[in-house]
Amino acid sequence: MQVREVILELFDEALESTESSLQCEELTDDTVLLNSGLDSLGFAILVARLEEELGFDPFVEMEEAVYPTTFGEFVAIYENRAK
Amino acid sequence: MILEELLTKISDDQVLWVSPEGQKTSGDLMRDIAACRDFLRGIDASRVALELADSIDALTWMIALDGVAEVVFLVPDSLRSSDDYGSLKARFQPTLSVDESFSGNAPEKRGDFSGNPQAAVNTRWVLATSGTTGTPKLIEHSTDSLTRTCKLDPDRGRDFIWGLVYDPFRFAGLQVVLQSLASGSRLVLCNHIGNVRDQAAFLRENNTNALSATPSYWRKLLMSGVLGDQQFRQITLGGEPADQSILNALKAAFPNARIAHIYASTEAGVGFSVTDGLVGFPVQYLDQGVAGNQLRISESGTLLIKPERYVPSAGGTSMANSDGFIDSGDLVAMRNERVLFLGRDSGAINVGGNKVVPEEVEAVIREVDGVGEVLVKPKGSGVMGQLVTAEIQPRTPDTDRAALKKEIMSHCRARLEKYKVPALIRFVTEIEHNPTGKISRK
Repeated sequence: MQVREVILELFDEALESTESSLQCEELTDDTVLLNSGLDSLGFAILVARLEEELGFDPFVEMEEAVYPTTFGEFVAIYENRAK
Repeated sequence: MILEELLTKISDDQVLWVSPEGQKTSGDLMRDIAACRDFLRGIDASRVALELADSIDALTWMIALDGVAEVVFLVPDSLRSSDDYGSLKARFQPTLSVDESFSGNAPEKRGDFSGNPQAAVNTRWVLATSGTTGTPKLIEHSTDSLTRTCKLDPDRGRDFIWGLVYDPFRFAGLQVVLQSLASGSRLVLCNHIGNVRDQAAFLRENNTNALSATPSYWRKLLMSGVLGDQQFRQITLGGEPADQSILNALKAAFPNARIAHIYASTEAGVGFSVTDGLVGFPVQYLDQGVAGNQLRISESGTLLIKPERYVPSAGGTSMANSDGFIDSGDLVAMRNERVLFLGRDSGAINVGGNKVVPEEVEAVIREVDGVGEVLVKPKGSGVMGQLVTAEIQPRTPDTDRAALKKEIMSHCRARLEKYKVPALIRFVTEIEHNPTGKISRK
């Protein structure tokens, strides 16, 4: 499975586990994460679940911390690391 | 000292408080305080529950009551609407509740205000802890103890515009309110704004240049993408340990800001700030002390503190050992000339500034049929500092794990606050016990 697909699947799971729902039609690269319906706890859960599935947490590994604003930036961070 | 005295050093036309609902100058505030005092005449205001939802109104009443009421229960929003409030209020036994019904017959504004503020009594303030287990505890403070660390410097303070993202009647929020008042700084109240992007936009609109928040909140602010080139002069992080990533990211985003992260120990009643931009604090503090306090590391790896001035906790019993050192309960380690925080020796978990006691979560999980043993532990998170994780040993090896996990999650969601619900659940064949039969947490 592609990194993006894993993220999309676990994104839904994180929404469910924080009892929230998507606040936009669908997730696109331009979706602002904090407007997506996932709060920062849900976001932290997503990152932790991705670490379980993919075996890495790019936010812990980064030398210069980047805090992504959009969904596209978030996916890019994982795709670059997975290369 | 009473709080009103802080206002005498500030010019009347200085805007002190700004919220989406309105703003108040120092002069407005003086008049409103006088009106509140008039209103209180002839009313038994010895024990007051301050229940106003509007933060600016609530803070106005707080200042008006200082020196008049014997005890004031400062009721935060989230507590007033919770199930616990009824019993807490009954226990507090107020002679007067200041609530929304007061705005209907709001005291008339008086044109004149004269005379020096005088205190008839030393008012005590009751604050509720955010409560790690069960009902919140009520802790009493005096005006002096709340303002002890506030710097009085209106000349410098005028240049600062502080943001407030927490309830002013929670300890962290009240510190920001009193510090900004003591230094005559404007305060931008965003605590009633529902989400971080709108909060960030309001902070920006009002040229906020100083903000105190948890590292987790700062990560959210950076993710909001709204603050971009905001000209922060003071950035304070507290409530949970800051990691190097957030310190670096803030330095990069706001190069002109003074960045301070605070270490505070409620056990020792001590706090100090670190401003060199590095995680933890310098090992030199162990030899030289900091802010008048002596520091040492115990044999079990916890930070010991000998405070410059020890204020015994509510219970009145001293927790100090024979040398006068108090165990902070914070596990530390020395690495690269720094002392770093590893967590709490009690295993308590700090999720973005919210404390979670593992035993509480474990007890809830044990209620689920099919759970044999459970161990709740923290897991480091680059987003929230720490997350709650649970290791589950099913009662029988042939348990349907997916179904049990679902069951545990829905039970936890029904019984626990969101941040206490395990973010991750892992199944293990056996949870280890130490020789005394307790679950080994390390």
